[in-house]
Amino acid sequence: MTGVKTSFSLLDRILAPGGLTVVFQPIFALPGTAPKLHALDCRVRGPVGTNLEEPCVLAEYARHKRAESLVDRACLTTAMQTVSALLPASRLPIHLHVTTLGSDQDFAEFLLSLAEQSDISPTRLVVEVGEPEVPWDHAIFTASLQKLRACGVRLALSNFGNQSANYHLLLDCQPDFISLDRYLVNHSGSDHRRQVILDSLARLAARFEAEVIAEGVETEADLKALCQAGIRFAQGALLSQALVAQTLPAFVMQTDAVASTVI
Amino acid sequence: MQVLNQTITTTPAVTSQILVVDDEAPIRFALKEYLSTQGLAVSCAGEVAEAEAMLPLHDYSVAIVDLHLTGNCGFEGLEVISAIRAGYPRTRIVLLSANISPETGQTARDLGVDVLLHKPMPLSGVAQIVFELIQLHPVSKEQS
Repeated sequence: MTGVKTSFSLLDRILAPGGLTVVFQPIFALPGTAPKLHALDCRVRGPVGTNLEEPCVLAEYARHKRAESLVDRACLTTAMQTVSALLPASRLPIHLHVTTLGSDQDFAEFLLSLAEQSDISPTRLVVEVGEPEVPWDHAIFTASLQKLRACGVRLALSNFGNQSANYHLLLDCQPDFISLDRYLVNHSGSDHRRQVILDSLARLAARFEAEVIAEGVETEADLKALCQAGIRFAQGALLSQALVAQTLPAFVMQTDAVASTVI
Repeated sequence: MQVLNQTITTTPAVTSQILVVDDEAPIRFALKEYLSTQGLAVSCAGEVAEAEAMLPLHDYSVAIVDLHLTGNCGFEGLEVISAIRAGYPRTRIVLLSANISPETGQTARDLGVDVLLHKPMPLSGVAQIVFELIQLHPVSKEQS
């Protein structure tokens, strides 16, 4: 059997110009009569037409290629260029591999330099990490976090409660935000056990002086359960689908109280 | 690859997920098109890392894995097979290659490959094997 062999790996396509695109998942503040836009979660997609268009597959691919730092740098560059052009005042949460911060000693400097070049204040940046599955250097990780914090970058734990995103990272990162994995959120409106966990995590986060963000909210019942647990921020299909860059300015313009809620 | 105008009639009641791992795009395309017409949900990957990144997405009933995934006669397919066996023991594995030596075949069986298929293989023959393996991997409630 003969056929055309793949001439370029997916990694080549990721790193090629235009290989990555950005979508934004709005995060809403829950208290009040209606959810209000709070921030925009920045998700980078891989090459169009490939499995890597799904951000979680892109992240896993980078991990399996042992190219977390390389891909994270490319994602960060794309995200900052996109946000700088579209949203000069928005907060920018960006997902990174723990191993990038725990192995790439120059990554913090790279991030801060890129922010300066893009005219983005570090205080607008939220670095999200989660689920380390390979060994990483704790000293390098801690030093990276200290450099970022010193410049005003805030930290978030993503997918908290899922696999390795657990208390270990909570202690090491001391995050400003804790994003709850959708597994905990979905069906929480009808599942007493999930309500107990949400209530517990909301109180835990408050003791750590961190805000909780619920991921993957899909039903009114789940939203109600989150409010009852005292969780103040949420994202998911019930509130808004992910937005491509071209539609973002119009979405932000249409959203109430944007000026006071988008940081 | 020879294509026969033969339709498999043992379509499962619920959709089973199949993963095809081959570096040759025409083969991925042909397998996806044919197995999809048989009522199966088919995902494809062309590299080891891509395949490994795809594994958490679905409860795959069967993975069809090519032995050589870089075009330079490495045995990268065995890496994929090891990853499947380590994390997804319910998934049945077909190793598909034009060049499987007895030693490599034994290594593959030791790793947990269920069926060795030699290329060229009619698509209908591959489908028949896949449906037989699906009977050993009932679709979970979460999928149905």
